[in-house]
Amino acid sequence: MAIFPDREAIELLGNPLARRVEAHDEVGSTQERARELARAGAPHGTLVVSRVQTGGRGRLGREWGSPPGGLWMSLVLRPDIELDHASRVTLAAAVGVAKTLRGIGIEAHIKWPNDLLVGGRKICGILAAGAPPGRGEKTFRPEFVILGVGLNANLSPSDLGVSPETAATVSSELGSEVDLLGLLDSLLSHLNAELQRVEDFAAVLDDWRAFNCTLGKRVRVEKPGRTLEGLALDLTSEGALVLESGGEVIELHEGDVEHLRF
Amino acid sequence: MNEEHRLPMEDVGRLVDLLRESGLGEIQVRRGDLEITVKAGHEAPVAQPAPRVEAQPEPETEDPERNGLHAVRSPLVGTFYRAPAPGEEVYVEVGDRVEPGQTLCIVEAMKLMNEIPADISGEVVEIPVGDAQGVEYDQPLIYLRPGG
Repeated sequence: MAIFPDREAIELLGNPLARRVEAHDEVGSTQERARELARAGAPHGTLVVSRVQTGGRGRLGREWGSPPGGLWMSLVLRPDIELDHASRVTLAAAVGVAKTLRGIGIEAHIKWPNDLLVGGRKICGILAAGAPPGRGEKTFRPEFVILGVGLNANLSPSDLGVSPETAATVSSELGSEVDLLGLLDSLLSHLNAELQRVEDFAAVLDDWRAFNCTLGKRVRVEKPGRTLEGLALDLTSEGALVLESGGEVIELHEGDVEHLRF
Repeated sequence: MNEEHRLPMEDVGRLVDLLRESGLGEIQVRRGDLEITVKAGHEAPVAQPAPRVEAQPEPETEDPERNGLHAVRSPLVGTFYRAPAPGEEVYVEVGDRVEPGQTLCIVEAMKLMNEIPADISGEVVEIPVGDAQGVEYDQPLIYLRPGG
């Protein structure tokens, strides 16, 4: 199996998103560790990676399998954007991951808002947590955003304990393992480029639309307490999903989207 | 100032009198491009000794902020969560004392979980939003009784 990059090697990349690096052999959750560092004042561009996560979590605390071979990482970001624009970060990150994967020959698509799929199977999940400052005005800037990316790299879907029909990995798509340091370098560069243009979000959304596999499809959206079905029409200027359901046009800001095949 | 753009204060005064006499909440009049709306204000709350924690009397009005409570409002449109994840302990319960900066809840938008902090110290008096409910921009999420 390809070796897992160490801290010095990652810092030598000179990437603005890896100014300070913690590379763990094993950690409970990179997201929690990055949050601790952020609370202690870690600067923008602090990166936490781990070969293994023992308590990896997805959205709403869902278990996220993180065995060796994956790229499990969290970034401390201190973006200069208003809080009501902060969720742009998660769609921009999806565009960055899509470009990374397409750059190595994997035709990844984005499922709203920011899952990366290959042939309908999930290859990467993105999650972010924002902490606004304690004493804010009505509009204020997040003190930091923790951006978590879990990319199934040199793994087989069976390593993740899920069916091959639901998960994809870089090595199973390419038929060979990739150099994790090179993959991380490309990923950080693409993430940085997309994050740099969140103020020009229309351009990010154009790329999102070009890579997406949700718009134009019939979808089922699970929201706490209710389920909606309808046609995914478009995104709003802030990336919310516009859904036509039962003659109504609804804007969705969150929810689990399932693509329906009919 | 151009005559056309002068505010007709006499008319406004008459409308205010009319509003008082009528007991209506709001009067709106329009003349050409000029539209004037007068609204009934709230009476200033009468100063009262600080109520004891137990045996709270019923609020005098339905607006908690008029009863001296402080609303922590949603800074964005999203979904309100009381706990970091389902099944985990909620951030705060009614009756808890909180400090500025302490996380009270989460509002999620596009998979960004925004922690919403207390901006003052005080006691959690009311949580008017149900867990996992959608919230609008500026909607009150938690009412605090300032102090401490």
